[in-house]
Amino acid sequence: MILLRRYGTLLALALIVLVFTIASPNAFGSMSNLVNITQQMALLAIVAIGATLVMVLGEFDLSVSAVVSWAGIAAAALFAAGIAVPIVMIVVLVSAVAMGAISGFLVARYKVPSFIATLAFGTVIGGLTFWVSNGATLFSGIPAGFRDLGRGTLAGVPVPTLWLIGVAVVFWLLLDQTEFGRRLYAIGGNREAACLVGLPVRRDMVVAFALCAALAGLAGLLLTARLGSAHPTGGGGYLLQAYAAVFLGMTAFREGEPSVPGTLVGAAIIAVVSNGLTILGVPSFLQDLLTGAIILAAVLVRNFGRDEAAA
Amino acid sequence: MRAGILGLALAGLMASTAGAFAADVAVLTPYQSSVATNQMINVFQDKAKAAGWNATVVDTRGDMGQLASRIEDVVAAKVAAIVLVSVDPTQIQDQVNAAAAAGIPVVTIDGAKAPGVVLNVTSDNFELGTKLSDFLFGKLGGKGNIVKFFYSAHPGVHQRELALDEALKKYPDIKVVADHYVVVPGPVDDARKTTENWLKSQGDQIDAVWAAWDEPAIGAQLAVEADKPDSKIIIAGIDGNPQAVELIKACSHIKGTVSQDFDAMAGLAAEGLTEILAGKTPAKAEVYAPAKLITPETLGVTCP
Amino acid sequence: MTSTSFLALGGLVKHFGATKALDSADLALSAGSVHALVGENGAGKSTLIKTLSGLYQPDAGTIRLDGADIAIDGPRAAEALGFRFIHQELNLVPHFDAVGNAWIGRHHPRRGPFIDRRAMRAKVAEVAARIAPDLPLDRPAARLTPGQRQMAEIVRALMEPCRLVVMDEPTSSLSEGEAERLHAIVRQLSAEGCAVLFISHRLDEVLDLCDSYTVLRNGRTVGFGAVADTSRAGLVAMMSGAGSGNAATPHPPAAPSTSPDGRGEKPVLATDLAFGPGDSRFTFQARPGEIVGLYGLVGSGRSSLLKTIWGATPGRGLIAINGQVPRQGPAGRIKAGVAYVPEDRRREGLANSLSIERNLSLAHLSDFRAFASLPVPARSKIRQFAKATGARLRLVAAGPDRSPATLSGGNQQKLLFGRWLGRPIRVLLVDEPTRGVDVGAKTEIHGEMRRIAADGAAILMATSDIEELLTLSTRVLVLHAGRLVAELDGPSLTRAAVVAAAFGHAPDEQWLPSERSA
Repeated sequence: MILLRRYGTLLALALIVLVFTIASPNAFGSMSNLVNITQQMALLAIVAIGATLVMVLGEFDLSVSAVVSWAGIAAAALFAAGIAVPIVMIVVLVSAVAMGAISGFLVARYKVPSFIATLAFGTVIGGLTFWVSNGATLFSGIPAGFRDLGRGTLAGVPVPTLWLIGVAVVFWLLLDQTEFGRRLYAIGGNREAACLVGLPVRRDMVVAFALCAALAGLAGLLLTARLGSAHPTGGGGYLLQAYAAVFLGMTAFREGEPSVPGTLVGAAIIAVVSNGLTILGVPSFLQDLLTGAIILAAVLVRNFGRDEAAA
Repeated sequence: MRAGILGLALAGLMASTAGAFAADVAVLTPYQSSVATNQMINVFQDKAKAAGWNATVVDTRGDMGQLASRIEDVVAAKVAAIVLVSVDPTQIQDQVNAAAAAGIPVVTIDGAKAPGVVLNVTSDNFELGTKLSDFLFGKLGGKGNIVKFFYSAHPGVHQRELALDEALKKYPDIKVVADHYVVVPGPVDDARKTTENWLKSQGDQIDAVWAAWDEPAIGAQLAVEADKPDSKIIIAGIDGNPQAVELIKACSHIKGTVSQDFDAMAGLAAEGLTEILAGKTPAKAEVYAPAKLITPETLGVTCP
Repeated sequence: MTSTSFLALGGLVKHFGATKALDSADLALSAGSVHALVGENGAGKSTLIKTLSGLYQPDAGTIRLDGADIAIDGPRAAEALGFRFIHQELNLVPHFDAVGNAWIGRHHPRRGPFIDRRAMRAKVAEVAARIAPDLPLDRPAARLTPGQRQMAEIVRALMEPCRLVVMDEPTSSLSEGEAERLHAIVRQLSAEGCAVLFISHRLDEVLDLCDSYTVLRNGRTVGFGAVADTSRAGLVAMMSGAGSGNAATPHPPAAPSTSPDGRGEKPVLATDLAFGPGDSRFTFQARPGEIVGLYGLVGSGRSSLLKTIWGATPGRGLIAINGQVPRQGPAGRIKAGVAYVPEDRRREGLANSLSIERNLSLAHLSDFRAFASLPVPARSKIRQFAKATGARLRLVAAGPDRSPATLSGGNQQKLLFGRWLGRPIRVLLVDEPTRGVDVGAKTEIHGEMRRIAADGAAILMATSDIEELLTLSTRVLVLHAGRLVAELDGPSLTRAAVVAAAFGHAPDEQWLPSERSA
C-alpha cells in the first residue's frame, strides 16, 4: 500500500501504457508511435516544467498560455519582416522573460495574489498578441531552417523530444541540485522562515516567474516551428493541461511537492491517454472525461493516503 | 486502487470500441462546436454509416497543436482515410504529408487545396464574400455605412473578408464605420454585445451589418431587435445557417444569407471518398458545392 | 553589572503606541552561562528578545557587545554577531529534512555549480552527532516529533560557531523525556562556551538548569543574580511584585448578591472534560452571577479550554448548560444561551467586510426576520438593535453602516460583546476581554461584564492581565501546563497565590483544587 501511494502515479502510467499496448499492439505499441508520443508531449511538458517552478513557490502563473501564443505570433511576425532566425529567437525569448519578470514583480513586490496578477497580465499579453497578428493565423515567411527546430528527427529521435530532454535535465538540476532550487522550495514551504533567515525572497520569485515565462516562450517558438504557422490563441490549450501535469506529478514523488520528474510523468500520462484513445477511435469528449477522472483519482488517492498516515 | 479505477475505465472503453472491422475513417476538426462544421460532420457521419465505414470524430477545440498530434495518432493507427473539416491543411502540412507518405488519403471539407490532399470539397469563399457584398450594397443603393464582423484566423472566412475589400473598391460610397474580430467560441453573444455597443455609440449612422458568417449576423439581429427594433438596419451573412433562414422568413433585420450547401459538401466528400477507397482517383482535386443567395423573396415571403 | 559579561543591554525602552513594552530593561550575560529570563505574561520578555534579534529597534538604551556599543539592524546582523534564536513557533520548512533545513539561508557546499548533498549531510551529521546523535536526518520536518523538530532547529543554530543561543519557551511543547534531552544539550552548549538565554515558565526547570537569572516586570528589570542565591518563592515574589511593597492587591469583589455564599442556586455551567496531559480532567461548576477568572501562562491551555467548552474544538467529556447537555458545536451552545468572545478580534471575531450593524446581528440573525417563517432579515430590525446596543455599550462609531475596521480597538471589542446582547445570556465565555484596549474602554467593558453577570449569567473569563483578573473575578481557576492546579477564592485569592500557582509552585495545601463532586 505504501508502495502504491508512493509510486502510484508512476504505476498508473505504466498500467495505462500496458493496457493500450494490449488493446492495440501494432498501432499504439509500435516503437514509432511510442517515440512519437514523446514528441507530442514535449511542448506541453516544457510549459509544465515552467509552471512547476512557480508551483514550487506555492504560486500560479496563469499567463503561460498567453505567452505561448505571444511567442508564436511574435516569431512569425518577425520572420515575415525578414529577420534572421537566431535574432528572432533571442528577441522572442527575451520578451517572454520580461513578461514573466513583470508578473513575478507584481506578485513579489506588490503582493498581488499570483492568481489575479497573472490572469490580468496574461490578458494583456493576449491583447498584444491579437494586435500584432491582427487576429489572423500567420504562416508566411517562416524559414525552413527554423521549422526544422520543431520537426523531424535527429539520430532517430524527434527534435521536440530532444528539446524536452534538454529542458528537463537543466531544470531538474536547477531545482534539485542548486542552491537556487533549494531556496525556491524553502520559500514555498515556509515563507516566513525564509524571510527570517534573510533569503532573497523577492528576487528569487521574480527569477522563477521569468524562467517559467521563458519556457512558455520556448514552447511557443517550437509550436510555430512544428506547425509552420502561428495562431493567436495557439497556446490556449496548454494552461489547464500544464497544471494538470504538475498536479499529477505532485502525486508521483516526494512529499507531494512539485518536481520536474513528477511533472514529466504527469505530462506523459496526459499525452499517452490522448494518443491511445485516438488510436482506439474513442471520441474526443470521452478523452476529456477520462483525463479529468484520472487527475481526480490521483489526487483523491493521495489525500486518502494522507489521512491514513495521520491516523 | 488508483490503477484499478483506471484499468476498469479503460477496459470499459475498449469494449465499447472493439469489434469494428469496417474501413476506419478518422474525421478531425478544430471547430466542431461551430454550427456549419457540426452540420457537415453529422451529414458525413450519416453517409459514412450508409457506406459501411466506421467514422470517429475528434475535435480539438481550436487547438492546432493538438490537431497535429491527433493526425499523427490516426496515421499511427493506420486508418483507411482521414477527413479534415473546416481547417486549412497547410497549417498542419507536415502531418498531412506524413499521412500521404503512409498511403492514407486525406480529404478536406470546407478546407483548401494543399499537397497531400487528394480531394477538397468546399465553397468558393471569395465568391461567397462577393455575393454577400454585392447583395448588401445593392440593397443600400450603393451608398451607406456598414459595420463588419470578421474572423481572419479561418482562411476560408478570411477569403470572404478579402472579397469585401475588393467589392468596396467598386462602391466608393460604401463606408466601413466599425469592425470587430469575432471571438470564437461564443460568436453569437460576442456579436450581440458588440452590436449593442455600436448601436449606443453610433446607432444612427449604421445602415447595414456585414457578417462573415451567419452566427455574428444572428448576434447583431438580437441586439438590433432589442435596442432599435424600428431601425432600417439590414443584416446579412453567409452560410445559410438554419436559424438565420428562419429569421429571414420571420422578416427580421436579417435580409439575406449566402448559403453554402453544407449537406451537398458533405455528400460530395462522401462520394469522392467512396471512389478513393475503391482505388480510383477523383476527376478533380477540388470540388465546389454550389452557393445560392437566400432572401425573403426566394423563400416566398413578403415583408412590409 | 558583572565585569565578566560579554553582552550587556542597558536601560532599553520600547513603545508600541501608548503602551510601554520595555521600560528600562537591563540584561547582562557572561560567556558560557545559562541565563534565565523570567516574568509574567506581558512582562516584556518577547520584546526584549526581538530587540536582540534585530526585529525591533529600541527607542532608548544601549546594547554593548565586548565592551563596544552596537546596533542590531536585522536578523542577518544578529546572525553575524553569533546570536541564534529558537523561536516559540518553530521555523522549519515542513517537507525539508533536518539537513535541508539546516542549510537554508547559508552557502551550501558545492561541487561545480551543484550543491554537494553528501557534504551537506556530513556537516549536519557532525553537528548532530555532538548534540543529538539520534535525530533522524532524512525525515521531513513535518513527520518529526515536536522534540525532534526542536533538535533540528538547534542543529541549524549550531551550524556555525555561535556565542549566544536564545531559546523562547523551548520545552513548552515537549514531553518530560524530550525536555531532559534539551537540558543536556543546553548544559553542553554552556560547557562549550556558548551562552544560553533561556526563557521558561517552568520554574523547576529554571532553578535546575540555569546559573543566573533576570526577572522582568512591566518591561522593567526588577531582579537579577545567581540562581544559587534565590529560590522559587523568591522568583515568584519578584515576578508578582509582592516583595516590593506592592503587596496590597486589589480586593476581590464581593460574591454576587443573588446568593450570599454563591452556592444557593443551581450551577448554570458544569464541565467534566478530559483536558490537559495524561488523564487529567477539567471539572468545575459556575453559578449565575459569578465571574470566574481563568489564569495561566501562555501555552497553559486557557484558550483551547474555552474553545472546547464553546464547542469549536472537539473535546471528550461532559458539558452541561443549565443542567442539560447542549447539542454539538457552537450552534448548539448558542441555542442553549452560551455566548463567546474570542481572543483575537481581528481574526476570530469581526468580519471587516461587513458593516458594524451586520456584525452585531451575525450571531442570531434569525431574531431579525421580517417574517418569522422566512429567513430574510429585516434591515430596520437590525438597525434598531444596533442602535440600542450601541447606546448601551457607548459605542463610538461614525455610523452603523461603516466597517468595524474604522473603530478603535476598544470599540471593536465592545462589538464582540454587543453581538450577544439581544437575547438572554446564561453563560458567557470571554477570552482576553480587554487586550490592547485603552483604559476608558476597559472600564466600560468591565462594567458591561458585571452587568451581564448581574443579569444572571455565569462568566468564565480567561485573561493574562492579572490586574483584570483580580478586579473582576469572584473565583479564579489557575491552569499550569494544561492542568487545573488551583482554585482560589475569598481570602486565598491573592496576587502572589495566583502567580505561584501559575508557575507550578504550590507550597501550600490550600491552593490545590478542592475536590467537589458534580
